[in-house]
Amino acid sequence: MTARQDERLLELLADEATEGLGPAERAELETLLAAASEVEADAFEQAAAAIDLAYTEIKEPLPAALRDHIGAAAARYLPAAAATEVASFPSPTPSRGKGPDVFRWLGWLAAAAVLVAAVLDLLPRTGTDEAPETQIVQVPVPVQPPPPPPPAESREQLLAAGTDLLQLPWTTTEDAAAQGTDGDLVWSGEQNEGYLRVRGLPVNDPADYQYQIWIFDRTQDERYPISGGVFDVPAAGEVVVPLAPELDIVEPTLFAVTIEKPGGVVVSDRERLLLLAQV
Amino acid sequence: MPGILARVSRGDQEAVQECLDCYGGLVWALVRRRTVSSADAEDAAQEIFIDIWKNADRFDASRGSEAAFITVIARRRLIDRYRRAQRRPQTETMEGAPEVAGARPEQLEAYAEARIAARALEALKPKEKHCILLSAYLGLSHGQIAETTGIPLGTVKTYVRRGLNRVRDLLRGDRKADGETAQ
Repeated sequence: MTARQDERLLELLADEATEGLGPAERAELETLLAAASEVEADAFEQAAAAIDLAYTEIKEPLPAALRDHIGAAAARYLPAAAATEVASFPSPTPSRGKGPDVFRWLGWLAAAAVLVAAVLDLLPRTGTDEAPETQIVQVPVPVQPPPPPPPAESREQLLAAGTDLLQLPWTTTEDAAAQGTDGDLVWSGEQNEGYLRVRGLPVNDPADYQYQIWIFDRTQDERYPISGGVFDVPAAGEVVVPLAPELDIVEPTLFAVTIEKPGGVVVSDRERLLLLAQV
Repeated sequence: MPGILARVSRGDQEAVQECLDCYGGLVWALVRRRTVSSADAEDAAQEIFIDIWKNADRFDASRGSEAAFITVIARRRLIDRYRRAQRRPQTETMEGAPEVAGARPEQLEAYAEARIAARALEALKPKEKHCILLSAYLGLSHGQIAETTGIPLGTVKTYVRRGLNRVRDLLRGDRKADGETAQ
């Protein structure tokens, strides 16, 4: 096989594992596989399945009626049993059921519209407050840049020198964890850099839950906002967190903070929506 | 003791019930994420279990867990259903957006492949990880990913393949290590 054929084979295997193949591509794949006996034909399917398995949350068993129907019909597809084996195979305990509400991304924007009206009633931080204890939080990110200066310092530098700046106060939702919080979100479009500052969020145990930042961008599908990373509040007081967006932000419209499982999530169910900052 | 799928392949009806107990929830979660209605989900689940019954004899424990094997079967059926549905006029509306999930400690402890996949993804660049999750987990086509992210289609395909490559290599390395340990 030529290098080009190798490349094409891998491309078709990846396509098969993720979005399937049409008849012509299927035939092409079969031809290439016939000439490459050393290639594990289903290795990419196994890889995709492993990813799916890692991220799939098992909330509930099969519905009972469906389960009974499938079980009753199974005999049609199986050989007659040669012997009956009594097995005591331990069944894993299904995950606790906690079905989220149906996710409606438009609800994010509706909630934001309602809360924007409340912004006027939210007192900003005043200079008469006692100086809060500032906590420096290291946000875990997949790609590690060179060690940056402390986030609070970087935030100040951005405010001093950044252009195309947004500085947006947080508005709180009715979630209990959001009560008594305040702070702001600073974002520089030119530098694609931003910082969350918030005071009053409950201290969290990262093994229990973490806070996650979300960025809505006008150029992105609103069903899939961009994650800005997860963070913790290790002690009472103020935290300053650099945003770590997964993609370049082109035109942000809304920033949000939710409570999520340890490590964060790919798509949030907004069950624990805490803070919003609308552009 | 033979595993569940080995006994299913021999027609053991008790094993069938155990299979539904152990993996019914997994199949239902996979199905619910990729179907547009409850009726569609039930149809898909039935088809997947028929595929499982028919292919139970092909399970090879040296290549991975039963859960991973079942997930491969489920994904094949769901991708096929999706492709067929795209060729028909859309008559149903979405009932809800994709379900929520994150890398859960319980899932990672239960399945070695899940741990390996999660580790592999953490080493990817953010855009690569984003694309591979939209593809392998949420089931978006490469074209849909390009449309929603603004990343060129060719780049999306490269990122997806890179992500799968990485997971594949780690799975292979893990199997090889298991084989050496067993010797």
